[in-house]
Amino acid sequence: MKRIGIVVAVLLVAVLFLVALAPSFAQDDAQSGGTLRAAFQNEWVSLDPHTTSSYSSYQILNNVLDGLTFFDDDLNLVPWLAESWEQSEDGLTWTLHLRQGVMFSNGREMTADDVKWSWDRLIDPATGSGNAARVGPPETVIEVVDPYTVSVTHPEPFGIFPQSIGFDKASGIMAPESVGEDGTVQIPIGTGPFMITEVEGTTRILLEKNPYYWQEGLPYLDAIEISPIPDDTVREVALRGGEVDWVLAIAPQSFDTLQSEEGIVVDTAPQLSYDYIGLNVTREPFDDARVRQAIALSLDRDQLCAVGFFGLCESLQGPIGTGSPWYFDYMPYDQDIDAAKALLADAGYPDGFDMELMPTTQYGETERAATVLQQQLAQIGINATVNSLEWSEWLEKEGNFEYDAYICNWNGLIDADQYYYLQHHTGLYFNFTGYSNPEFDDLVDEGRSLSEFDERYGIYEQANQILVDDAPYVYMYNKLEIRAYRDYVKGFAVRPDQANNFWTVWLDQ
Amino acid sequence: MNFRYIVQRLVFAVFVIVGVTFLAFAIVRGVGGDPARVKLGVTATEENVAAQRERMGLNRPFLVQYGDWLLGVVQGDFGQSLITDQRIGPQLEQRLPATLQLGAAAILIGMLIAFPLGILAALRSGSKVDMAVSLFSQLGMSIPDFWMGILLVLLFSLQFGVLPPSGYTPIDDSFREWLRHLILPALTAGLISGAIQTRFIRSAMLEVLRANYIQTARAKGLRERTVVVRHAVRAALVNIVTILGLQMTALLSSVVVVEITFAFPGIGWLALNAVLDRDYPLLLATVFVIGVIVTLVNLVIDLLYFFLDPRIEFA
Repeated sequence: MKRIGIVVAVLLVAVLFLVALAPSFAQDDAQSGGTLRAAFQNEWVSLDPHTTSSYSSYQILNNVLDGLTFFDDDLNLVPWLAESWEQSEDGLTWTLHLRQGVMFSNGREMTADDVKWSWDRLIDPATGSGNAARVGPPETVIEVVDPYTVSVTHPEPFGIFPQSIGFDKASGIMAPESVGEDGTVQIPIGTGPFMITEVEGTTRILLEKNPYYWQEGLPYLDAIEISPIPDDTVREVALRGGEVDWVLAIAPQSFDTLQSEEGIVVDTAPQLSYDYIGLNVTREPFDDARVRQAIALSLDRDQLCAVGFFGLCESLQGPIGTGSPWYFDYMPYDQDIDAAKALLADAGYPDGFDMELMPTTQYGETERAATVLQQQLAQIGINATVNSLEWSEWLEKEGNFEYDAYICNWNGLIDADQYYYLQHHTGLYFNFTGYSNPEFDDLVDEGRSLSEFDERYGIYEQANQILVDDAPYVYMYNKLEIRAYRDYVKGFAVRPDQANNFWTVWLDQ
Repeated sequence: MNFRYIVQRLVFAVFVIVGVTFLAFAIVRGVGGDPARVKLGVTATEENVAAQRERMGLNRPFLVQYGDWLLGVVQGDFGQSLITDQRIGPQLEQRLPATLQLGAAAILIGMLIAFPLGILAALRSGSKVDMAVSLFSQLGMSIPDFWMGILLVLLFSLQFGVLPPSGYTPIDDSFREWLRHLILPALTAGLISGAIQTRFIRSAMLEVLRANYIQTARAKGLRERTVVVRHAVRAALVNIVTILGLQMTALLSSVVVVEITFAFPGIGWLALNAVLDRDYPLLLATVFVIGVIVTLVNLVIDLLYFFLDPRIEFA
């Protein structure tokens, strides 16, 4: 017995010792102060979280606005401005309980009124936000229960509402005083770790520490100075020469060079994204599933990845990559030229046909992929021409179904619903292919009304199989998210959802 | 040369600028592309886009939109960017100095290269020196601006580490930093424009050197240096100034590319974004500013003619 007692005591001491050693979120050795000089690739657009659509804008707003929920660096959903939430019996109403004593960067306390105002403005059709669906359809009713409680009632059960409002900063909380006399938001005021203090057009923006930030001891940095440097080479030289401390993107072809450079850290994470070909199913011959499947079977995805993104990617046959908990092992499209030709002959195109591929100059990798696709499609008799368009024209043609096949990417996806619902459900917002399958619609409707992971996984597995078989999208690969910074920049985590969260970053200088 | 002539020129310039902005607006509208879609991106529905178009005032007739913009400008208000919602006036104020400094520095560097080389090549016509200058000139004309820029960055920023690869510091903040940031972009645009000007200066000088009065000057026993500098160069200047005027517009297009390569916050970078985003008010404002610069430069060149060659009369 005594011996057991000693063993238990030793074990207890060991456990306590290990607990003491375990890393905590707050970094004990972190130094406070200093300014991080960051270079983006693209200029930001509007800083109004409700009307912008640019990643560059959201990558700034990540550090200025807080959401009620948040995905941590491992993409687990955690409470943020809301401490807890519950769903009503009928599944229609979510009630969220807010953290008390959270201040906006102007020193005013954030209450349920601010949540209601932010979300009402987001879902108001007159605002015209492309991200209103994060909170719900325009009929959604948002009510203030008391200063720290807000209720949201949807017309249909919305089981993944807590996840949905954590996806990006469109559903972040902004103070109503951010809106100027002319109705626009020049500088959004939030409760986030930093506040925007200087904006010089779209060539320089300064974020300074929010003195009222609710997380004890954070952020470490005094300020972040962000400038865009569009040219890849110049941006990389700026990092190598120490003109900037951190860059958002590097050209994939420079990956090896930078990685071997003394004093530079290159960090990656698999993106939650897919690069794909969208086929116009409202147009012949793409209205025939056999033709779409033939195209999917004709691709050598490893070659596409090697040329399109210099091998810094993973080939995909469905939308979701292996890094996601929502990954489904369904791979029906290993390259098979004979099977593809047979499908085309079945569909009445034994000699193939002519078609146009529409990449965009906005994303160089889509243009590179198009040239490889041309070669690969030729193997099954499809004669593809490439018509690369600048972004504004591309968007217009894509939105109006004026294309055969477009090439693009879709990023920052976390929940299964984001991979299937808005892009492929009949008549929904981002369904630019015209795809419609009632069986698929029922499954994804059900999937988003439930909250349990295991139950939902089974539903989405079926939906995934239907979608991959129908092939309105032909998936190619998902890329690595790449960040590069000087080795004295500590505490930065590359996230698969492309967010750049700077509040845990500190400078070891 | 009289005051009336200058006033006439300026009145004419107003019409030209109105015409140019109207054309720019019409062309970019005609190309297609929708700023409402650009702003909202791939996640925009038809309803979203319609609401944005309404907010942006794009549903009004074309002429009404242009007329409104013109009325605003007359009152000194350039309006608001469709894409960023920012006021345009302050952006122009902030970026114009950078572009003017870059343009002026590039012209200066171009002349410092072109005058000595062009004159030397003309004096040593047919020699090895002439061939070398021609080769330099050909090279400069063929190298794309962005590539030249990247080469200079790799050399001076990465290899020697003496100059910053990008960015801009206002002259009031720090003269030294302003100069360090200006050198590479100005050198890029200046080298290219200098290479082109070298050829023109060489041929203008050759023409003059063959003229009778130069032979006469030499026959009178004047020193070669006096002949070249006091007579030949001065006579060739009229032609050279004409070419420099034409070169201005070419230099402006070079400045756009150089600004983007070096992340140099000037009007050119703004103008290109405006075209790509179909940001009509911003596009009109940048075209307007560039039009004013070109007009003023041309006026200055006309005045220079008068000083260079008093025989020239303006009708």
